[in-house]
Amino acid sequence: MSQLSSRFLDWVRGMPTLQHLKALSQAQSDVDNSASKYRDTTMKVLRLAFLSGAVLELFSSLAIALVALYLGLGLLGVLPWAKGVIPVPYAGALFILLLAPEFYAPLRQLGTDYHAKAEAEGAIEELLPLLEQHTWQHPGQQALLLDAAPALSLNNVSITAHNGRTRLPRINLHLAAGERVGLHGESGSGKSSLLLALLGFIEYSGRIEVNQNSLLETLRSDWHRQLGYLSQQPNFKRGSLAENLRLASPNASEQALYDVLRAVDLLPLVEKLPQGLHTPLGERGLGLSGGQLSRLAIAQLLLRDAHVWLLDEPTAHLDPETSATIHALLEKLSVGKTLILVSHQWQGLQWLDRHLDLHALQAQQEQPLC
Amino acid sequence: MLKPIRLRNLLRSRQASWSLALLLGALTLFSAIALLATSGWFITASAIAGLVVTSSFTFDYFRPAALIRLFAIMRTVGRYGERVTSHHATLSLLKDLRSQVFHALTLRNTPTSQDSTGSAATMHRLVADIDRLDRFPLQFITPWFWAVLIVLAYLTFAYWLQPQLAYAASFGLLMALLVIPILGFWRGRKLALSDVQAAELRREHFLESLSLLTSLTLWQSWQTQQRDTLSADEHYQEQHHQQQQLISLLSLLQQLALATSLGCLLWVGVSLVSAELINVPWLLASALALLGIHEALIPLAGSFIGLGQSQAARDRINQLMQLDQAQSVVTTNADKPRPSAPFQLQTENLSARIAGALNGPEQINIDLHSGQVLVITGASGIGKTTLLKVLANTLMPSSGNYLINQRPAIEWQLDECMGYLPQQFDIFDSSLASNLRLADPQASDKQLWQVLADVALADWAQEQSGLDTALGEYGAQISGGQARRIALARLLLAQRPILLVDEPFAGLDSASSYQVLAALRERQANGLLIIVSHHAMDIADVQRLHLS
Repeated sequence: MSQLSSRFLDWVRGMPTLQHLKALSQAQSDVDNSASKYRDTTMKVLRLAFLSGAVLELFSSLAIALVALYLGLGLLGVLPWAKGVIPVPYAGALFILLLAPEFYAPLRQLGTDYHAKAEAEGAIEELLPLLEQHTWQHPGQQALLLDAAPALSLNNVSITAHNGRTRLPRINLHLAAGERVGLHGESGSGKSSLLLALLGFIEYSGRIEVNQNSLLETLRSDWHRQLGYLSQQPNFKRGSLAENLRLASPNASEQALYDVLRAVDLLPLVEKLPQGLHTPLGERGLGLSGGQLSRLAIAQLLLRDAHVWLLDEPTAHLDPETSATIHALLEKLSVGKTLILVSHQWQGLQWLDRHLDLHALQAQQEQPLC
Repeated sequence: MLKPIRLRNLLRSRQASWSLALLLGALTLFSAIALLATSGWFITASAIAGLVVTSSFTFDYFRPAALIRLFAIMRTVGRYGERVTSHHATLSLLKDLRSQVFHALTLRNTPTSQDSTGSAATMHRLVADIDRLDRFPLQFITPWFWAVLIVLAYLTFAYWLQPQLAYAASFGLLMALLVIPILGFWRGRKLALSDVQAAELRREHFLESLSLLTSLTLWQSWQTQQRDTLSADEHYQEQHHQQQQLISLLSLLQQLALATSLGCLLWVGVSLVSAELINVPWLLASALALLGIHEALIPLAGSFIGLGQSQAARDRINQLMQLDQAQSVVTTNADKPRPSAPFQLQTENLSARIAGALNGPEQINIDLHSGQVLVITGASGIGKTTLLKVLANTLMPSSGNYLINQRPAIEWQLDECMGYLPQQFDIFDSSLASNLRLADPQASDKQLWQVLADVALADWAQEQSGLDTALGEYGAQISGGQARRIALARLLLAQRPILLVDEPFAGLDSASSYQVLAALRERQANGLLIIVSHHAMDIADVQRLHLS
């Protein structure tokens, strides 16, 4: 059922595209066919399930009938094996008859329950791959405390996906404390995977060190406390501006919120809004432009007061002018942080200490000794 | 146009199946009750006959014994048949509903814009609501039909035995059949409505938390968010609990009413027996049948919750569709003529604005002829996409003229000559090939590879599983730029002479961008090509329009 629903949903969602491509009849026939096919396969299963239920039902019905016949014939004294004897007197017989349906009720219930069991098995079959999926747990236990931006070093780090595909070939990278580095690379070269590894979300081989502490041995929550991360698309939940900002730091005072908004140049806008900080944001941050949402995401970052910033194409969806202003903003705000920025666009990023090409980083170690 | 869904029409589409299911169900219930009644009659009559030794050998026990067995078998077969037919009817109903809703959605005059079908959440709700509609026949219509039929049959039977018996039993029966379930009407409906809302809220909370998973984990506020989600879940469970309580309470009251009815029946019956108006076996048969009726009455207790849920579902589906109707801007008309090559696209002092937006393109003048290319650039939020929407005929300009081949664009039927890649496009959860073939079902593999090469995706596709590469739900297996170019490839396959593309180079390095641009220009050599891009590209001999 869920499969059918998601298929239907998929088509409905893409309705404008289908209309535009004149592919409506294709989709309609697919909707019809998959619904019919679903009905037919389900009915095949159900017929069997009902049959097993019917067998139980038959037993209970026949049992009631046989009990009634036995009692009735017994009362008549015509039972073939006990002629002229009344095995159960009338009062007892009536009592047994009244109880018979109740007695067999659990048997019928079993039929229903069996059906429920089959449904549950179907459900768990879908869930099991998800539950059994090998999810990598960050093993670190050591506490990590940073007072200042740390140095980061990656030695022979490579990332392999579950299916054996290489997501990031072996690289070496060293960042001094407070160094701000831009990472280049074609799409699919593993930039995002590298950031995920740095976040402690995926397994990698090789060694990542934060101030000479191996990341794998560090308590992940401690490491996260030091991290600021911007994803390609800033995520916001439905709720007010203040609520969204406080996601990053639940105890931030109103003053702190105003401070970070000023830092990202959103204060003039917020002050103009009649509800101010309590203006509701729609689903996916509806109501603000892309640049404004990026600013808001940076404001969240500032509230964290982190020493390491990992930025994953923070301006990929913005036009050059807006991304240039966002980049300038990042320059101002990221002073003194150890920063890795992954981006396609380089306008306004001259302030970065180094620009690296992922491809070049990989090539380095293939070079002969020199 | 769109007809709102009515609950009472739900049964109409599969009348034969439903009738059969109703008939079989009634037969099953009748057999179950008759089985008890006949058995009771039989053993009592036997007992009385057995007392008189001579009569026990003349007593005809074959006929009642056969009847008992017949009812036992009928009950089994009837129930099996009823289940199979009613499930078949339900699944068919769902199929019809999906088909119907989908068809209705296709008929809607939606402009090709991102907000026309509403957010994914709305659509999700729509699908869930369709599935919910089957509760109306299953939990409301059928139980009521059977209960009323069985009670009437029983009262007729009792009346035939002795009118007083029917009168005695009727009070309690009618209480259990009508008064008590209807008592639960308001409360049940209200609970059902809030249940639907609570389910929705729970889903939203759940999805929202998941979409924020990374950030929340980093910020260590996952626990807080999880608490909210769990409390939404608890709220939902609480709703369910209340429903169960209501159902249990009503069932209890029904049982009490039935017991009263039985008491009255026996009380009246005993005096009738002593007056020799009726014999003991028949009285016992009617008493046992009355006990059996509870099987038909119990489902009524929850019927109004089922009704409420399907009403809520119906209202939301209808509301959604009406809402969409109001939103539709452009009316397509198949009778309009189609423009033919050579093409000319002009705007004169064109201004437009999306409702609620602060700014939009102002005073735009374009004059574009076949074979020419227009590149629109400008800062974000300046209205590039809005302008493209107007040109794609999905948004009416607020002032100025928009002409194609010297006639206002709305007077043309542009469906098959205009290709538009909007900012928000759709990739379907199937293979690369079937996504592309939406545009041209007859396209050969060679053609597919050609368009993939044109959008610089052929190498990528070869590395994956070729044309069979699965794109995943919402195109989840591929990056945003790849998805955009797959959508572009699909559009190219449709071969539209006028092509409007929004940001085709997102996520591409500059070498590939030029490659894609060259392919686009070659394909549109005899048509029009309008590109919106925020990439500053160095392109020769194109018209440029910079919005500022």
